[in-house]
Amino acid sequence: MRLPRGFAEWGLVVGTALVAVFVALALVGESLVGPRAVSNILVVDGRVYEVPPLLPPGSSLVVEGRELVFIMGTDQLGRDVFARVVSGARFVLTVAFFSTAISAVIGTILGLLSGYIGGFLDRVLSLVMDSMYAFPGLILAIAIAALLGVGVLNISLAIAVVYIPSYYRMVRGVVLSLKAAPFVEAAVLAGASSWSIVTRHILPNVVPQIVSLLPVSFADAIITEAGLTFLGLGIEPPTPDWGFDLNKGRQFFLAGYWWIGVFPGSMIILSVLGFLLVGESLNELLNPRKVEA
Amino acid sequence: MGLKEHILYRLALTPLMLLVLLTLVFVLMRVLPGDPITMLEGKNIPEDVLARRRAELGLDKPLHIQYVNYLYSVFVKLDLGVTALERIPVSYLIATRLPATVDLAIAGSIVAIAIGVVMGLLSARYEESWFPQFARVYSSVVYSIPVFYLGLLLQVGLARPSGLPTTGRLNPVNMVTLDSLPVRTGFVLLDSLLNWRLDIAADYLMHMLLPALTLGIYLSGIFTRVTYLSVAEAMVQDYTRAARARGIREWRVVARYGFRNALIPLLTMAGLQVAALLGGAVLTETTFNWEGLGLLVYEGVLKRDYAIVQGAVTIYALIVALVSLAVDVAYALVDPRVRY
Repeated sequence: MRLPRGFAEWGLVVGTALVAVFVALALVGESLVGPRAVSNILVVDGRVYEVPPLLPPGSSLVVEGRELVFIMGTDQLGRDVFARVVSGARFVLTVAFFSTAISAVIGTILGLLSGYIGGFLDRVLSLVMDSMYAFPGLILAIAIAALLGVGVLNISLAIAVVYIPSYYRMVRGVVLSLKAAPFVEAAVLAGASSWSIVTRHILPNVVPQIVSLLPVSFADAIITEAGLTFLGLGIEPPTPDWGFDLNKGRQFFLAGYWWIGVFPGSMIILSVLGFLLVGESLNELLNPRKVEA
Repeated sequence: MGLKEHILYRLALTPLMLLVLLTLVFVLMRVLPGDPITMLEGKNIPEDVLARRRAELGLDKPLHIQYVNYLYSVFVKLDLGVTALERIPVSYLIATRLPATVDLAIAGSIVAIAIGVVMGLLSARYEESWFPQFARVYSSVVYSIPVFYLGLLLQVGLARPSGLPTTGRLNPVNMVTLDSLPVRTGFVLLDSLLNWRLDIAADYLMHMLLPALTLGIYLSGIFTRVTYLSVAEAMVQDYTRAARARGIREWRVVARYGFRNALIPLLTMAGLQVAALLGGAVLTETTFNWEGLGLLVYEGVLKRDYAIVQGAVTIYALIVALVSLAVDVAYALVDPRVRY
């Protein structure tokens, strides 16, 4: 074993570690921290206690002879900040997962159709996709999220619409370059149906390109989700969510209760950074020649 | 195709792009459940009132008629409608809010490009040091910071200790004074300078400092990368080696031979980033209560006022289309090799 060298190798190591941590949090975080994430009411031995708001990090509370520690303090409603940032991973990553999956699938299907069939369909789809691509993504997502209302699937859909054109453009480009490739021509001459040419000959060559786009678009989805929930869109309290918590705790954060903002904010940065580093490093290590701007 | 034809072609494409975006907005707003009236006034309003309000807004007509009416009012009558509650023309609201966003976007771009160019040039100049790695990490981290969080951090970290204003565009007194100035364009900086009110201009710039820094830092990572990559590419070319061989100092080589190579990519990136800039501006404006177009959209969303959202989408689409056209024209001016 040697130590990693250069930005790409270090990026891959750090990024993978971060991604692993956040995926683990999304899967089990909520069950680890329990109800402390959504309520300031503690039930110990059948008795009800109210946790005071705005306790600084490291505060402890002695309840029935037991010491409860709030390592990240409590928020303006007396909820455990640590519990909230840990269980907040679930909503964000679920939304990022669904939106990335939806945009990848729809973008790929449209890109395949458009590139392979060509003609009028291609022109219309390209115009639609290019218009959406050029338009400010966050604003489109805001408009759609506002119309769709709250819910995991609704906010995922709002984000997915924004990223469909990225997949469409990439897939269409690959299909156009492959359509004239000898192995595709051979398949045509051998009498293969369009369906089998697209699914068996073209799609397998598109998949690696899609995969290389996935981590970065996952990172983008997280940051877009944070922006939407910061504006209060797509989410309902008391669901723990980093962007939403930053919004609700904003006044207190500005008033000097730093832990209310710093912890959720750092969670957003680290999770985005994790996926971004994985994506960028992989692309650099797998295509050393391509220096992307 | 000459430059003039190219511009005409692009101009012709702009309405098409608008049509696509407006259709998307229309479909989303009409096909999805719920309508503006029940959203606005609750589900318990009497049947006859509901019917009357629907008729007023043309919502009782079949979808395709509504669609044609909608496009007709936007494209032919150039009418963006009125707000649902106060009946204020949306075009008026946009006109009052747009200058603030334009100011912020320009200031943000200046910050972003300044940081990006400096960091990119330093990376290329000190290629062998730790600096390029640092710049790379900086770019990734900046990309990962949500712009609203960056804004909040600057408010806490810079504004609280230094006393810089954190919200709004002007002190309340100056806001009132501004309205009474004889020469008005809507652009605060321009107005205060035209009327020789340097105190108002200074106040405005103080208010703009943090939002512009926020937006600028948010976009600076990508400009750092672009500058570095294109200057580094030039630094291994024969003409830069020849320049060095002639004894020209390294900084001069970087600035003169390397940096010129970065102008076109920087221009391209500036054009491409306009969408990110406008999106980032929404969050920056919300964080700093900067009364621009982005804050208007946000308010429109909160109030479920579709006319505002729709109108703003139209204006954003127009801006994006015009900027990409401007970038194309700028290419031809900057680079004599570019021909259309």
